[in-house]
Amino acid sequence: MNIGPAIFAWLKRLTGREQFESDMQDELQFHIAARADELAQGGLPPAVALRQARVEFGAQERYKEEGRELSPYRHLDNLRADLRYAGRGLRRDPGFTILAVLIVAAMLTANTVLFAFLDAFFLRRLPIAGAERHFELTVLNQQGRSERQWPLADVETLISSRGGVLEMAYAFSARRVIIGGREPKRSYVEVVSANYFQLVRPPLAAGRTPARGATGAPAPEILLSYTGYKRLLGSATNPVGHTLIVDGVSLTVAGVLREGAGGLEPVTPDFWMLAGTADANASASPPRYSIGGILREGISSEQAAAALAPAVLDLYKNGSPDERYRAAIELRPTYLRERRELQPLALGLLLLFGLVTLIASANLTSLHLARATARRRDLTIRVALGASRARLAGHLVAESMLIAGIAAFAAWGLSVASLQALHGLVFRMVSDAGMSMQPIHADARIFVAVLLLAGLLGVGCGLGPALHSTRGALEGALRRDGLWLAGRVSAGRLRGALVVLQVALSLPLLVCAGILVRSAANANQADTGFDLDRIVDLRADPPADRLLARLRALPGVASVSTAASTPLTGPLPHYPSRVAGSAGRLGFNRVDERFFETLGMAVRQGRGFHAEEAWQHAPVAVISEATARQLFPTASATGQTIEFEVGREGEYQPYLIVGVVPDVMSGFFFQGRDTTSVYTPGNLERENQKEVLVRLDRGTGEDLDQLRHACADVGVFCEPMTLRKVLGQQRIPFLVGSQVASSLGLLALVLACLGLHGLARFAVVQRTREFGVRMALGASPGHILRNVLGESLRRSGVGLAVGLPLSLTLSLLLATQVPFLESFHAITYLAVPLILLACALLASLLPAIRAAAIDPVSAIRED
Amino acid sequence: MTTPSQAQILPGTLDLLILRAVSLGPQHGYGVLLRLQQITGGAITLEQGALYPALWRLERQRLLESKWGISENNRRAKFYAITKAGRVRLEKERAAWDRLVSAMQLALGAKAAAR
Repeated sequence: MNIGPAIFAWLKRLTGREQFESDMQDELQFHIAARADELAQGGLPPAVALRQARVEFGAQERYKEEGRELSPYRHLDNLRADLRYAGRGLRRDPGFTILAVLIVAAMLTANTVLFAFLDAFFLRRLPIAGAERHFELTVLNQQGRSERQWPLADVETLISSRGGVLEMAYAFSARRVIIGGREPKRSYVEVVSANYFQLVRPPLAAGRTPARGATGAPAPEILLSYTGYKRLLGSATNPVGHTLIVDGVSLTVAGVLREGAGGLEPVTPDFWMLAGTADANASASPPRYSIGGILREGISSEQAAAALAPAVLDLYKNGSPDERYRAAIELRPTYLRERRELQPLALGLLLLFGLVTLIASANLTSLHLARATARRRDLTIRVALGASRARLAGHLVAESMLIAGIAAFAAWGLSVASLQALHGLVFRMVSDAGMSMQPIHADARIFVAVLLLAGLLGVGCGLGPALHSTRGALEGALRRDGLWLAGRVSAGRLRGALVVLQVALSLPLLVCAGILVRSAANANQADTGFDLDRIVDLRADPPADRLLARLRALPGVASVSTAASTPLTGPLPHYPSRVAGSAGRLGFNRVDERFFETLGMAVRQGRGFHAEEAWQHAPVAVISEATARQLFPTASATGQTIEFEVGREGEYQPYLIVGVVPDVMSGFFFQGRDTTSVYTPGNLERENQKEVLVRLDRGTGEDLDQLRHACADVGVFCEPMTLRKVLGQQRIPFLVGSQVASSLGLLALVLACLGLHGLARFAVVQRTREFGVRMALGASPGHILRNVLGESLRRSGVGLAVGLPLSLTLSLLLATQVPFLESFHAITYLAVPLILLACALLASLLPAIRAAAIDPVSAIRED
Repeated sequence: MTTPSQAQILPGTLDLLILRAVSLGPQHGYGVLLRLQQITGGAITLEQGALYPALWRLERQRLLESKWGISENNRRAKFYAITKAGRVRLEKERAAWDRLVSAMQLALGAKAAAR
């Protein structure tokens, strides 16, 4: 069944259009019948009388047509006629149709995906009543240092002091736990107070939410998310009632959430449990909780902060008397509204997508222009037959609307597929860690937005060319190189401007994509100072001396060491220090005597640590070369003293520097090697020295398995990971960024090629007569070919000249937002313009060949 | 073909004639045509079908209103009646027409005298 006529039949029924037609028919038939009766009474045979009556009546169809013009349905009729006309036109020119639909669909898809993404995290309200009053508590000191987590007892005190300003407040903490069993797993969970569930009211697939027991103590229960159920108890048909060993505590599954449901965070955990349930055995030192809740209606965040101030001051009364603490209430009505650090990312994405939209619009306009110009003769004939300018413009706009409509449906399918792919990509990254992402989906609202955007684009990009070409047509001008904008801009200039715009906009997009891709690739070659494949971060939970002994006995293990911070997991903590009276802050790590050996850091000056220094936590230090250069530029570092503020404020302890080691990379790959690092000796007994590093003779998968088994043998949960893998995890966000950027860049390149091709077609159509004359005057086809290609290259060159400063500005801007980005990358700046020029050349090749094949006689005669 | 005794309708006067015909009582399209021939003594002709776009236009301007009924031959027919606005318009047009006719007569008469 053909869908177009079916829709019109439905519309007709809906609007009473059918009744109107049949009434008109009945009225005219009555007239003819009445006249035939009269003629028959006068003696004519009935058949002859009827024929005579018809003749006297005149052309029924013409009068009906006049009637329709008067009817309220004439707009529908015009639209139908316009769409039919447009449909026929598009079928006749499949090249144009496919190009235009592709451009619009690509642009719409990019925008839909972006909008769905922004909607999921920044626009969609949290699924709770009073989401606009949802807040999180922060305590700030005078220096702007903020604290968002406190021990449970403090949280309870703060919550109970809420006075009349808070409708409710809950305690919340995200934590990694270990699920015991034959194959222990790490799991990401959220620990909340019992009233959290009264606020969130999560949709349950089975069971109920965890509750407090009869004594008021939290019941040993958990609430599984759907992904948590699949990951932890996937084999059970009904997980309710099953038990899980969480950090050594046996907890019962009280309920399971429906698929896709989650809490108030963008990431959904494996499960929720009540605060205090398994705190005693928690791997991290005493669990800390943040405070969220709902403000009472009519209470501002300032009022709430003021009301909480006394409780906050009370909490910090033992702190330094110099520090003034104050409460701050940050509203967070959406999943990610107040995360300021994410806003540059969102803004950057918006900017990039805006550029893609602009490029697509410029392309579409040039395509329409090319087409309208090619059809000027046809339009002129229609004007001669009596069509009004509005009617002609209507035809052309209907054509662009039809394209936009087809593209909108195509874009919808593409968007759903891309969102699934994107979600799958992100999901894979976090699912290993026991998390799942809030679903990102394109719903009816977004589809309506896409349709509207498509409509706007259709009218916006179709109207200009329509007015342009109908103006020419009305003037009766068959001149090819007509004037635009009431004679102020010639079509040639317009064409040139479009090419320049096209290239100038594509360049920054491609350059940024290039820089992002390049920077992500850089991470692979990051100069860490370690043998990435042979050093393993054991991630043992909990580490123990018996584990170290077991590991050292393993064949294939060269060395085992403990440290406070492992490499590549984040910058070293910086502590206040004093050297020869001058104060500063230096990176600080506590390591055992085998650390330098394990990491392969050859001591450059002096010595490393002795075993007894590690046991006794001796006041000696080894510093990095960079630190030595910075602190003792002229003298030798060994033998000097460095003071660190340890424990209480203002209390400095001196350390004697005994050695200097090479610089390594502790933090993120884009930060490079550490600028300062001071190592002091310690061992596992130290509260904060819980990381275990292993150096293998070879770095194979079997070795890692062997390490895992050795851990299990001594009852410790381990997740051994080579430093290369740790580095790989650091790269994930940049890989995603570079994937998005390269898809956008590719899109921009395809759009630019399509647009330049459209413009070249347009140019050839417009200049057909000129080429005819030139060839009649002796120009060779080769000359015409060079002329067309030359024009395209010249204009692209101007576009590059305009786009280059734009690109530099944009990449510098991007580099200020993303720390590790190179703002200038010579190869990108060289390659991208060349690619664009090649693209311009390629795009105009076919039209140029067509121009060279023009028959001069018919080209001139056409005028 | 128009015989010398018959006249084509002047442009713009069909609406006035129809309003006048319908003002004598509700009538269907064919009836309006017969009444026109009758009141003009058959002096004015027009293609019969041309009556209808004019009727529909007047209806759209709310100078006429219509409803379906049964004709004298027992056929279903659409009957037009003049509205209040239609009567007002008819009077206005008639006055304007009278002024035009007397002006024309005056002008044509004066021309004859000058000769």
